[in-house]
Amino acid sequence: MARLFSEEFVRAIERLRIVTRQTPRGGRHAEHRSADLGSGMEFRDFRAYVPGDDVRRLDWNLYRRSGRLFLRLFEQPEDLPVAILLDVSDSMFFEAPPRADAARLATAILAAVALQQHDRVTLQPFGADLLPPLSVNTGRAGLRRVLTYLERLGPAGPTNVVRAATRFAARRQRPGLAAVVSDFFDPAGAVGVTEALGHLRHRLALVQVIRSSDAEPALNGELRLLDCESGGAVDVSITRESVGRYRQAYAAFTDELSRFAARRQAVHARIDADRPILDQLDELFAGGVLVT
Amino acid sequence: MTFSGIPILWALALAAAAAAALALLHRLRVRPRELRVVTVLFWAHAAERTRARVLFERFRHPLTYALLAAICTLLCLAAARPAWSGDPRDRLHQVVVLDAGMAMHGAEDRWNAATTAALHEVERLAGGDRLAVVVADPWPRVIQSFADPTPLVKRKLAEVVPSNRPADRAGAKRLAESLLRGRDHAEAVWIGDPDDEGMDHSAVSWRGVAVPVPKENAGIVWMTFEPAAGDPLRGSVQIRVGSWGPTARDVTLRVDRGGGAPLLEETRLVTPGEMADFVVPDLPADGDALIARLSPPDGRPADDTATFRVPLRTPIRVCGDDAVPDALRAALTATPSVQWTDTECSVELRVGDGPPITGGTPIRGSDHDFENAVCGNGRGIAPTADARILLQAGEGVLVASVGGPRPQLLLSDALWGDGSDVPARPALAVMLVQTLRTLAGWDDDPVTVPAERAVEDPLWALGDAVTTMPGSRTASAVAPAIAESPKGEVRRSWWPSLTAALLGLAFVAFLVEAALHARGRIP
Repeated sequence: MARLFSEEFVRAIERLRIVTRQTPRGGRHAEHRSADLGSGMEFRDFRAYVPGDDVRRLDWNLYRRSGRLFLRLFEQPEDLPVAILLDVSDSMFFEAPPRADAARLATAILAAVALQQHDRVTLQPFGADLLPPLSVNTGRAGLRRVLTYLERLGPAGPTNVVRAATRFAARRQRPGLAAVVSDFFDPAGAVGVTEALGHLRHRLALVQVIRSSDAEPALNGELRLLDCESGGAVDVSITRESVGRYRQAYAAFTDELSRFAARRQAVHARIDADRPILDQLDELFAGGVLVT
Repeated sequence: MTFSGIPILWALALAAAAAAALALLHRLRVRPRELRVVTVLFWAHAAERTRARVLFERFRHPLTYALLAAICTLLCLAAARPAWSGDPRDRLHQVVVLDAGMAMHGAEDRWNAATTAALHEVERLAGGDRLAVVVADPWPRVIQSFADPTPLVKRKLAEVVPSNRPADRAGAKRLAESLLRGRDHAEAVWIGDPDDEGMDHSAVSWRGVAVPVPKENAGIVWMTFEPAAGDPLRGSVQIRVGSWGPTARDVTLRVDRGGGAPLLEETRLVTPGEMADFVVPDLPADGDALIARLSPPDGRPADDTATFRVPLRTPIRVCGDDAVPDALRAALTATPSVQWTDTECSVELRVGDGPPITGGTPIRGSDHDFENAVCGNGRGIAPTADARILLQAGEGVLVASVGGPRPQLLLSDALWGDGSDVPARPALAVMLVQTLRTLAGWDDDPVTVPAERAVEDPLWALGDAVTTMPGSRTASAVAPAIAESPKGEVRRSWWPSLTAALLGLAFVAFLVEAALHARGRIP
């Protein structure tokens, strides 16, 4: 565990928070403001008394002044289910250093922050299909389990974000925050990926793991490019024109993800696998807060 | 059908060879370097759009290769001037005989005109006709046989260089007729100066194509060395220059030694049909080479230069024993061409006695009595010597002998006896000197340029007029005896229709390839 997650890393993530614009109802007590009114400490509003209400919540001062009975209403903080769909396909482990390292670090960050806020965390790795998930509750013990789980993950076949998102959506769990940590190099392309992610009822955060060579390939000559997952071959002559078209295709791919995130009011963060993750926390947590 | 004279099977074989070469290059094309990448998602998109635009990429697909190869083949066949061969029974066998003798030598415009006329004859032929070309120079030969592809004629004609000697026209014509022997549909064409000799009675149909001649010309007719009257070791070189044309012209003759030293530069006005003689006086007979050049240049530069070697004549060294009378010795040395020496000599003079013999009888070997008598002191004529009696007067005889260690002049002392009048004859000394010159290898006649120049003078475009003396006005004005034969019919069929058909097929193939490419069937 010490290989990926250093003490410095653990200390850095302690001060991060996740805030959602909408907390799903029916959760347990935690730190997220929900639409429910409950027995929290923070006053929120008045409501006219109806028979059956708890009389201990009557505001007698207001009764003396108005002659009518009103109840005090308080905030009901609840937990935010956080599901992290982590891409552990072959392409995430292909390069050196593998993108999977940055992805797991980002996953650990999200999980640690969620656990600090007493949220329930579900780690859902996927490759060609969904792998057995890990669900943890709050506490340091939960974080340790998360880190250990992440350390043991390995390549799980070719990328299939579409299938993973579709099957995850079919579980119809209590919607919360679904963070997808992946390079999104699905054969279906960005359109297929965003279409599949659109079926999720969760608040979304797209964490795209990138490299500088993704946008600017350093290739030359006559090449037969072999896909590290499928083995598919593409013969290409590296020319100014072909590199230009590559850049256009990649830009269109990234733009599609961004447009989807904007439509869903989701976060679209890009994590560079070649840079230290701690230097890129602002990508995820602007001002120390991840707002979804 | 033929393509530029090449039969269709050969043309298809060439096309198949070219296609095979292209296929081999296609297989040997540089293979791309394999590289594993994290994803080919974006490269697939880029390659899909660029592959169609890179020309050599289109060769990757076999169907594309086949269509492009077919288009190239059709275009090449269309450019190869296809022609129908026609019925083999109507096939014409034609022999073109090209004059490449002295008349064409040096005159580039005449030779170019002759080869152009020959190529024009080739152009007239139909696709199935057969052509042979005979070059008429001093050694007539076939440079293009009936089995050789016609397109090679131009290259072969470019390799022919006209000779500076007269052409063997009769031999060339016999050679041409031998090629056509036994062929029904045959024709021979003579290209050069008009020459109908032997054509009238020939079994072959002859046709003549006259090559234009220059309008005027001046040339060196001959050069000769004339020994001086009293000194054969010196003499003068005479050069005769002739001219013909419409007007008189100034000609300048320059004579230089082979080493470059100038001897003569003189300008004369020469009237057409007349000659002018130039003289380089008082030259030693030292064997040196002389170069004569005539200017200004004209249409026949071959006769504007001549090289000439002055005879090498050194004094004849004569030796003899004490038996040679002083008077004889004095008579011989009276001419500067003879020197008497007591040491090494080139001719030996011997005097001896002997019985009279029949005049005119050649003497052979050493068995003859006269020989033994002449050589009574033991010296004799060598067994292999060839001897001739030059003079017999009574019992005296003068014999010249060659062979052996050196030439000998033998006299019987009876010629010098008191009763002989031979010594008093003035001609004896002349005979002796002339005989010594002959024995020493001196030629009697003046040395000249080759005789052909005087007989077949390139000055004279009209071969029949050569029998007259050079310089004759009449010869200049003689009209050609042979008029140019009418031009032969053009037998080549109209090949543009085949070319258009092949171009059309190539265009259709191009449209098919473009349509398949547009539909994405081929890259």
